[in-house]
Amino acid sequence: MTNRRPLLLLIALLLLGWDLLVRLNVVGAYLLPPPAQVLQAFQDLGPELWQAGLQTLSSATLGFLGSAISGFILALILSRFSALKQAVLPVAVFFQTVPIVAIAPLLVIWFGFGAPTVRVSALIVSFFPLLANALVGLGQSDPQLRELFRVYGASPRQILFQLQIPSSLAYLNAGLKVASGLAVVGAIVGEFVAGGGLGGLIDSARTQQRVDIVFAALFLSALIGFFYMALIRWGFGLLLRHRPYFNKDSL
Amino acid sequence: MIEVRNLGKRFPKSNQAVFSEVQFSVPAGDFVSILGPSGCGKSTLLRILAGLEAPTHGQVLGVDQVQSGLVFQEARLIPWQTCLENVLLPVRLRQRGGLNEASARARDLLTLLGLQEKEMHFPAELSGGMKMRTALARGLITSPSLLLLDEPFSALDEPTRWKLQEELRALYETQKWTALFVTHSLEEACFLSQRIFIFDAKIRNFFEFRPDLPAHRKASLRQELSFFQEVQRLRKIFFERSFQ
Repeated sequence: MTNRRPLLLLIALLLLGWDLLVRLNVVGAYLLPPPAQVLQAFQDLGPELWQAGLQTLSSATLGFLGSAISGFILALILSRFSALKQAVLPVAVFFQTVPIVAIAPLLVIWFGFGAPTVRVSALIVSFFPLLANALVGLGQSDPQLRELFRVYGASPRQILFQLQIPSSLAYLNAGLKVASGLAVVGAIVGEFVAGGGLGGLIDSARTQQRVDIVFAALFLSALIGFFYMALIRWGFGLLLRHRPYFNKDSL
Repeated sequence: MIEVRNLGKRFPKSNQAVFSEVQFSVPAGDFVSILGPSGCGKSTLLRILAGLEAPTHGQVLGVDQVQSGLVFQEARLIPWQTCLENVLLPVRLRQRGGLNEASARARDLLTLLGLQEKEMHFPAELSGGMKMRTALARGLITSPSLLLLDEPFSALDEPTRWKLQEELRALYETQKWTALFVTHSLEEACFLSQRIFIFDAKIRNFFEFRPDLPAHRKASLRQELSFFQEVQRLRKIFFERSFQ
């Protein structure tokens, strides 16, 4: 059982420190609204905020699923054909280095305003971490075990499914976690330009100087990130239930 | 019958010869040990026979890789599979024969090797000796006609090594596969084999030594004078020819 006490204590301390900063006028409430005001924004906005959250969740999830599936499949292909890997990887790195903020307006031109642009934005941002981690993971299988498989005439498919993928789980887990967080970032950036969701809400709250709403939306986006993390953790827990000696701390 | 004809191996980068013109034959059902100093190419020779490396020149006849089992210096067990699943790996990979039948055979082998209560244990729960026994059972699961063993007991403590030598010899005497066993240990080679190929440093080739010991070998043989004398005879020849 994970000990949650240190985390809860840290959260309580951060909230207390934050509240004190505002109460002691170190920072003005118009810049940093106190926690109670953010909570009030949650209540005031109610359905509107949750609706926006659901919209972001839906777009980020679709983008994340798209990047997870396509990134994993591409990693499988590239790990099998090293010449292809040498050709594709630099191009993938190039696209990774182009900031999503710069691409987002282009996506609006291509996919129009609304959800499609947001989903593609989430997909683009979260694609590379999964591809990179899956590629490293697939190449991490023990060379001695690979040789053993070769001795017993294992096919590339058997090596992939019985050795490479089971050996790469810690890397896949790390890749999925990074990608899921980035999918939320990608969705919100996409919503800044394409409208809708938490990104749209943050953008309109910014123009009205409603920092409390910005904070409420930020907390909701962080909740989406936590939801993904919990889901990935649960999924891997399920996958690893028959592997009692897997270092679960690495998840 | 395994025949090795004019076999040679050079390191690809330095082009330095590991061994050259190696020639020997092993009749079916013989237990042969390969003995030599570190770096003389014993393991390379075994890897060529296992099909893991190609020789620079020469031929190996009579080795069917599908009918061979290989036991490495390390147990090489899959950490996320149980002892029984590890033993069954060659059957699963080669997809030959029913898994139920193979499971029964795997259990028999594990019982013979004293691991009957460990079949559902993971490698992390096994001692070094148990891991090596599991690897040995895996090498024998396909009922190979040839078993290749590359210093399988070198990392074990002496009592465990002796116990495993006795178990291996007992299995050999009942199942009569051909065995090629690479080792550093003169006693191990004497106890296990009918014939020993010793590396000759001068000609970079192997010559044959036959220990004059009974066909049936049990633990008590180690206490006998004849065994001690054979080990001494082997030691003398080994140091004369392998370390020139």
